[in-house]
Amino acid sequence: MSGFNLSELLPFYLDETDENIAALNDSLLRLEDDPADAKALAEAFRMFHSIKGASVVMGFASVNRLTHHLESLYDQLRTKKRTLDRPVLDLTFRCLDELRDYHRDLRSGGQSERDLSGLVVDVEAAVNTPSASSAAAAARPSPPVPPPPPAAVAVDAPLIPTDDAETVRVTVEFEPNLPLVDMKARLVANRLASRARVVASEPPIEQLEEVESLAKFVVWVTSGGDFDELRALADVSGVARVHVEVAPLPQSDPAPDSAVEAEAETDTEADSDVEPANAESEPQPHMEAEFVAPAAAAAAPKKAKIAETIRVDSDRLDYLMNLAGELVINKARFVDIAKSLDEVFRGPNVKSLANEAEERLDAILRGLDHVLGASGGRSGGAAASTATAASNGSVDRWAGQVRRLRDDFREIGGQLDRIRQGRDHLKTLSEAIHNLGRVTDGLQKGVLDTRMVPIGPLFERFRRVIRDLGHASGKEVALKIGGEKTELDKRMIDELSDPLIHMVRNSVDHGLEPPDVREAAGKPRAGTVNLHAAQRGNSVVITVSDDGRGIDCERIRRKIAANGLVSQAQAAAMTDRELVPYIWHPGLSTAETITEISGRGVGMDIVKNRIDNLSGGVDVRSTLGQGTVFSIRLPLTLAIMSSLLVRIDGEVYALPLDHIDEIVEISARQVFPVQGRPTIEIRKKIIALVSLGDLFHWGGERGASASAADLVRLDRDDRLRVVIVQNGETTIGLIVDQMIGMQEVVLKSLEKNYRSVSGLSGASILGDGRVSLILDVDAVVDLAAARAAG
Amino acid sequence: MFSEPRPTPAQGPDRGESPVLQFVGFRLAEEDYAIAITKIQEIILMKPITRLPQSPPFIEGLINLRGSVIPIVNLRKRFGLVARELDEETRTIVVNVHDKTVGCVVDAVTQVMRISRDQIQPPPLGVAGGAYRYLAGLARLDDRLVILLDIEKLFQDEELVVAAP
Repeated sequence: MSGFNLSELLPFYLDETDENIAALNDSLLRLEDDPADAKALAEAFRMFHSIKGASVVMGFASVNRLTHHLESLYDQLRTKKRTLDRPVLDLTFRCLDELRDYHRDLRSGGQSERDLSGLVVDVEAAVNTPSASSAAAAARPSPPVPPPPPAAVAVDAPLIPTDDAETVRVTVEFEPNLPLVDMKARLVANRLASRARVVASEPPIEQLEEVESLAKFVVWVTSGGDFDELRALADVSGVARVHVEVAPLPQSDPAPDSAVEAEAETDTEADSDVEPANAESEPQPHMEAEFVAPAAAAAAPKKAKIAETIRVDSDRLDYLMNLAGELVINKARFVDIAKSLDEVFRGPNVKSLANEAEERLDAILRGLDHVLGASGGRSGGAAASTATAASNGSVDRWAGQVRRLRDDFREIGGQLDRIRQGRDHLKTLSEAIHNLGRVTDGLQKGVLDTRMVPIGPLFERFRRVIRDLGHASGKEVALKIGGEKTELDKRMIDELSDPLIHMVRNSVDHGLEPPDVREAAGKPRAGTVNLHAAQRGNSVVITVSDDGRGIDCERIRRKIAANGLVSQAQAAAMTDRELVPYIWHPGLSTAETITEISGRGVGMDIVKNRIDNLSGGVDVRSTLGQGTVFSIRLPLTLAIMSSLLVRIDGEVYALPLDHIDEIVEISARQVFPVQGRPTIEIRKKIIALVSLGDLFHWGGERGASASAADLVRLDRDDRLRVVIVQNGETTIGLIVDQMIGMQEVVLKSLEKNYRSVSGLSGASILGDGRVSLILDVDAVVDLAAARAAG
Repeated sequence: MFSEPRPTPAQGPDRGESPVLQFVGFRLAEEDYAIAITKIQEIILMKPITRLPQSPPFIEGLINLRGSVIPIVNLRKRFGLVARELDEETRTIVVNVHDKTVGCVVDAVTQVMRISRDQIQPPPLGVAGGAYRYLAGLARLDDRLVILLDIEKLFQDEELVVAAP
């Protein structure tokens, strides 16, 4: 084709196809609500067409075959030759799932062993079965084997030309110097071909690859479609202007090259292709004939909504992120250095001191000169003159000393002048550093922002999940989505998908009751699962809630006693608040029966692990009979953290700001022992007071810092600085030696060169080049709770 | 040249074809040790160390090595020797093992030495006690006996990988 290496195109193909499949899912879900939604039908048709076009370029014959038949099927639906019924919809969903898995395989391994031929047969059967009976034919996963289909079925029905239709000329003007302009031109032709019959083009489609730059591309079509539709089809990204008018075919073209026929030929060829339907990365020979649906095809219809985007390898962003992080650390160093220099230069104005000393020495010198001159003038007698000479000699020497002293001071004064200049320069330097800091912070924020993506698309995927779960469990489920504009680090979103699926499954399977039970309980038959995201300071809180039966604490009580996790007596004594966290325990599932969806007792512990790994936390609140709310709290990004720097026992620690409630200074007399453990009252709330020395082990021993138990015996007038931290559920007071200040710290993993350390979420490098440890407040609170329990 | 090299017992990390191996020598409590030069990234002066909780005593803490956070292992403590005050001879040997970068504190770095394979003997059983399995062998150099450390095995231990209890 255009001299592209196909394997280089693969990532683009996969991204676009993923988007197309996601869009298809949306359309199908809309169609499920309203099977006659013409717009959704047209969209589905177009998406299948796009995937088909792209797959043939990449040489994925089986994908091409499947989407070709789906395209035919949706064309029938779109042109009202049949109506959309449940079997067809289910079949389409199955196809989408297979296509998605197929492409996932491609993404991970570059090829897929998935056999799509079964689905191809099913879809083909559906296409060939008249609408009325199609329900029976394609309803079950194993449809009756259809009669051998005619080689060329109603392929590309919209393309059926009406011979006497007028020829319409579509003139497309591209933006100047548009890259890949040949691809764009092909795209335009391809899109037009979806609605009309392309009879000719200038330059001809097969010569496009030879074109270096192209300002104008003219396509002649015959069509029943209206001009606006054609104009919309031709208006892809990169197109500056579209002109549509009725115009005869240029006479110079005796045999209008029908690319459409070429396409039909390709399809026929694909139909009869007997090779097993698996993916090959090698280009197929017939790709030349196919209109290319380049990667940008899918994005085009949504153009109006979406801001212009550019795909960037996330490794590059990570690299930029690291550089920006280093820059921030270096900036902090500069600020430190400027600060200490400033302190050095501060102090009394020594220059005036030096000047004063110089003047004083001058005065002395003048005095001495005067004495010398006077004695010289009075000299008379020999003896006197000898004495005077001796005295003069010594005065002279002194005067010489003083003169040298004065000159030294003059020199010092000059040097001090330079120091003053230095101080002025320092002021300029500080300003420059301040500006550098501003730019650095902006740069870092900018780089961070490039990684931030809205959570909406992730949530949208759950419409499908909920639909399938509802069908599988025989429950009626409605999904409500909120806060989809909330942005999170892309990597975070990727990592979040699995835990969320577990939780949503859990909600549908364990949380929601069957419709009849709900009705009996006075609830609407359809249960609701709510997905919501919101930013709170430096965190994002994602809630998964349902209005189901809630967590049955009695059942947990029985389970943990039966599993031997706690003794019978202990279990009996536990409060609901103590029982609920056991849902995170591996091997505990409160569902009485194991279902296909969930209930094998794996899942929730994995959820907790995954979220812990993201430096997040997850909480559950439940009211029996009313529902369950899971709240996941995550940092906005894994890369950087706003934190409070404190000194504890000589070391500097960073405390994530969003875990800090307040900072207080109390006197030791406000500390009350409760069973030997110190507590304080903060805003009418009694909380435990802990010291890191108590929670952490240092070199296998207790820390050297004051143990909290010692605090009880503290001198009553001692002052304590306490940071009140919480993990969403529990609040504790952490004793620190010194507050240093707030700072954005760049998170460095401890696992990279060591291992994870409980109670720490990582390390960071301070302005002075030293390493500081970042406290994992969730884990610290857990450690404190564990210590209290033990 | 090297007629009939004796079969070496060396579990030396570098078992290339070359008959002569290069080691960096260092001192630890009056004994001469050496690590294969191929494992060594650099040798640095002591830097400020941030103490690390929940870690075994021989982990001194973390340092900032040009933007990377790396752990510092005190080899004296690692081998159960009496700890010693740091002085101007103290060095940190930065090694690359198991895709990780780790600093090892030693009393002093002596020299780069070339040891031919046939100079390397297996450590006698029972001599090195528990540390036996970390030894790649012993080599006689002039009037000294050099203990060749298998740094890969030393850090194969759970300590650098798995969370502490």
